[in-house]
Amino acid sequence: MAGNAKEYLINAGLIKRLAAFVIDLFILNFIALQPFRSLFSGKISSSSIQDLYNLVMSNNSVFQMLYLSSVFIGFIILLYFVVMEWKTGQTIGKMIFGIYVVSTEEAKLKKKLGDRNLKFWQAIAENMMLIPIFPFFLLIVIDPIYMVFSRENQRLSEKIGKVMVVEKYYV
Amino acid sequence: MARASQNEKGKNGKGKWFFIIGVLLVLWLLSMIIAGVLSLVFSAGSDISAPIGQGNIAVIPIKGEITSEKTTTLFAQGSVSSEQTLKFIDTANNDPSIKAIIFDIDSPGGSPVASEDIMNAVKESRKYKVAVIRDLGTSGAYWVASAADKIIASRLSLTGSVGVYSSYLDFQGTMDKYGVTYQRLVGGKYKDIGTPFRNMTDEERYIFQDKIDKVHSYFLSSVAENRNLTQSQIAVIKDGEFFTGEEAMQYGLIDEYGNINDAVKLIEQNLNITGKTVEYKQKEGFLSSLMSTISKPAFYVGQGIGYAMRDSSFQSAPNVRT
Repeated sequence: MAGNAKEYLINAGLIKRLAAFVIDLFILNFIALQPFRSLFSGKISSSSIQDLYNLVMSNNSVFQMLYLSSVFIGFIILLYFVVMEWKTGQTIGKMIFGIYVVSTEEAKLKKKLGDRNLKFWQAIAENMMLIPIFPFFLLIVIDPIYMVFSRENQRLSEKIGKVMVVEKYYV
Repeated sequence: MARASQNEKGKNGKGKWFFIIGVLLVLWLLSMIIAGVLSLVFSAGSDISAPIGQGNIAVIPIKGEITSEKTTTLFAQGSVSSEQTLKFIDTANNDPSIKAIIFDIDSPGGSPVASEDIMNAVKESRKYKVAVIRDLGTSGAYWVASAADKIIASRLSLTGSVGVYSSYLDFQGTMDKYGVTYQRLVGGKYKDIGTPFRNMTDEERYIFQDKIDKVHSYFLSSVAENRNLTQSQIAVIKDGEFFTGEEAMQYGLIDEYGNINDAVKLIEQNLNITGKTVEYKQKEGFLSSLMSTISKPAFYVGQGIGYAMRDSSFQSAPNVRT
């Protein structure tokens, strides 16, 4: 922003955050899911959910393969969010919508954004809900509920990680 | 000064995009590697290629001589193992999308124990089962077919042969001619029964025949029970004669003429479904093919020598075949 405009950090809007997340998921579909899809091609194409459920429950090998695949896919998705937010404060989705993950302290002090805003532990804590191990994945349900009741649109994981998702605002 | 700052910004921007592309590339490679490793791990544990959920009628091949374990020679792979077939049946049983099983049979029979194992598995399966006999479905292979709900064969198929045979070579004449003697040392007077190095005594022949009769009787009664044969039908088949498809139909050994397509139609009619077949095969990965090519010929040469030595010196009883 040119001239004497002053930069502020304000909480990012919910719609922007959701849209950024959808874009990230779209990218991850190619990066993390596609290779695993080939693992199941020709093996599973059940016509109904019930048939698929019965198959997975009755076939130990298919169950193990599905379970391990989902754990590894979960870790790759986690890596994407952690590394990108730790090193750049943004994911690709967030870049498109101009939103950032910053430490709460930084946001409160209304500092300008630096090159690297988060500590590594904060990046992990912020994305705890993606850890594909009990009890972390329970946060997938808890986080959005917490967010609705939070004044600052913070998820519980963000609160724990002392981070906020913000966008720039110029006056 | 301002230009220098812009250049630095541009460099940082480029660096950021390089970093992003690098991260995406590394994660994609990581996914590929993990998926590849999982694929190897799970394909190593299973030697069955049975696409799950891709059809509702499993086609299980029973082609070649029926044996207990898969035997492969350098030039021919003409056998079907009960071990493999039982895995196929088990896989089909555990796949809820499979509504029926077709046993695609082209076999002269083989080991009585292996045949009975397969027959029992066919009988116990809760799926709708149809046996399709192609050129040959005799002896142990017919025993397997008899456990299915329906048997379909061509008019020209050969089937039946519900009998048991055994044989042994008698080298005594040749040995006498060359002055070679058989020095008999046994613990248990019947231990070397059936040895090719001396004539069988009447008592030994009686014992041997008795065993064969018992196997035959069991085989015959099992087939009769599976097919609900009448006494007159049993009387026809009990001599171990083989029959053409037409004769087999006359004696109640098969239910319909036809092939696999007719079997699918029959299943569709009986189960009121639209049939889609999925063929079960033995999976041969690159590594296992390579290992098989390298190790099996040597293994079977050694096994052949081992069998020859064992048969001639320790356990000379002839094999019993259905």
